[in-house]
Amino acid sequence: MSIYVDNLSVSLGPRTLSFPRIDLATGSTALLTGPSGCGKSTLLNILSALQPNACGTCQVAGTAVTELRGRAADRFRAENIGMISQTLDLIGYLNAYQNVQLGVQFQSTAKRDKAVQSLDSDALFDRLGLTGANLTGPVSKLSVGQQQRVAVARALAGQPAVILADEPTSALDPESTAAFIQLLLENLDRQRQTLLMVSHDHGLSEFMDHRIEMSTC
Amino acid sequence: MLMTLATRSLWHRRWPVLLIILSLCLALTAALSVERIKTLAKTGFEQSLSGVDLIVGAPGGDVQTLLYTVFHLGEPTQNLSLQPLTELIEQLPVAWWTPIALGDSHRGYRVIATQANFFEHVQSAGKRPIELATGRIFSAPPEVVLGHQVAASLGYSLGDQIVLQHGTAELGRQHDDLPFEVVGILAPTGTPNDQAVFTSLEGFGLIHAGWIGGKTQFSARDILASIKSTDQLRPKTVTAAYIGLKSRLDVFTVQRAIEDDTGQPLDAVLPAVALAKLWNLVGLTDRLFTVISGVLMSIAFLSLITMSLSNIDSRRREMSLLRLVGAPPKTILLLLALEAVLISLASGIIALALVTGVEWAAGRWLSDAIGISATLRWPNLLEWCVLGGAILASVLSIGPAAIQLYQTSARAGLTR
Repeated sequence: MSIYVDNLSVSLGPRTLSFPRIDLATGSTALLTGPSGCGKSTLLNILSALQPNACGTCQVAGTAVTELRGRAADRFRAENIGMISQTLDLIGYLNAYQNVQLGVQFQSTAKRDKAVQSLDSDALFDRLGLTGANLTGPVSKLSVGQQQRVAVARALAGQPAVILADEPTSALDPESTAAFIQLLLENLDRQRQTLLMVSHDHGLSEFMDHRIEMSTC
Repeated sequence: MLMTLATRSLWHRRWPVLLIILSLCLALTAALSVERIKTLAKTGFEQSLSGVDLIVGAPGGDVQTLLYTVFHLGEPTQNLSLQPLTELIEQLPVAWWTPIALGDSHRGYRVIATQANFFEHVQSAGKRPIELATGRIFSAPPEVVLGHQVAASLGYSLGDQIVLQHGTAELGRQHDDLPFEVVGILAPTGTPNDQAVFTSLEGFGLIHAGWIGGKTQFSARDILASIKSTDQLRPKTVTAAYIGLKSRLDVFTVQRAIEDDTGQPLDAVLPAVALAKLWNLVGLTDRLFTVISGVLMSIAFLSLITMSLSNIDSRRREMSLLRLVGAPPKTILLLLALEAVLISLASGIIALALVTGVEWAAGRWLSDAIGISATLRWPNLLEWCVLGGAILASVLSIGPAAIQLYQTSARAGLTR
């Protein structure tokens, strides 16, 4: 399995968040929904080894992420997690190629060499519909839609086991949302990559294999 | 990739970064300038008297001897009898020597009466020989050679007649019965000799030969007409003597021999030692320069810290993203340090280029004013230390900002 969560909780000051059981096989896709403040983003932080003080079982790509600390957590994140968020998380002054390069930059040498060898940024940009965009200028000059595609390209570039998407479509209209999800799913390596997407939009569940509801706050 | 990130990030924030570079550059330029001026001033001072191994004068302390012989300040406690002095020095292993007689002046500039060999052995700053800008060295009285600054400030040229004044006080009596002709003007030496009027010992003796009881009793012109040889005009006493040794290894032996002589009380002063002592006495300026440099650098780095801290908010997102894609904390710190190094390096290079350019452009003026040839050169050890210190300080100055950014980015995840 690619993501396995069981009996997981985390204390944030006086508040304790508990998370539902999740069991996603490699290559599957899931939509994580729930009211604001129930801990969706916190769960993504735990899955990406950014939230160290969680208790319970949380395995991502075969690694118990709650036990990871320091450099091991950073390396795990670099090699196994691809992030897409509503704020796009691109470095505005770098161009599209350099932003994509960041996706593999902090991996181990062996994995990075392999990723760089197979990474064809131009082909990836073509697949993501970025043909004709000015990809050598600062990425902040691109339209929001184009920036979203660059963010997807960066998330995919490192060939991570898991793609975590935090409300990537919150700023899009329904038509653009559907197109974006289609694009993302088409470019996932369904043999190897698992997608967990956080969204308030329940309608997106029709594109996904699973839907996980976080109702308990 | 780190270099790309650093350079692109700096370019992205180019206007505030340019202000930081400008502020650092100004502070470094000031610090390097102060350092260079200090070095030039010290070099100029230490080269006030070059080519002389010993100064013989009346007892009174080496600094005082240096002051009245070299810097034309103060008066000797007594004169030296020339005949026994000559006999003493001629027994010693000296390569050359020349007596000097002081006491007269011309419009505020000291008159140095000496021999023509003074100009062969005493050197300009930078250990260059004293050269004539125009004319020739004096020969028979009444002739004078003017220091560069005397001629320039009083507007004298060859052939002009000048009247020497008895004593150095402004209202001293004039030796106006015998004007002296300007026969030579020295090129700038960068030493107090630029502010001196040189004449022969015989010329000095001539104007004092008829001077009895503070008045002219016999006309110098008449005396000059009546003598058979100018050797008769050599004064019986002189103020001091400059000595050059055959071997510098003999300097202490000769010094002891002179001071132990029982003929007349004498002091033999090592000019280099006396100059170093005098520099230490006036070294407050030296320390003041250092303090000014320190204050300027501190202000620049305080502004760097302030600007770094005020930049934090705009960079939080950038640092969080780097952490999201797996950048370890040390990479974040390295990136910030690299940016600081690039900023201080750019400031240092610009400051160094500015200081070197100005020094080179002002070379002629510096040469005329203090006799130092300012040539293009690599920074000295102290200047490298200033530049290295600036780089180190700039790295340290991003510390508070780096710690804040690191703590924020380490906590940051998808919630922002």
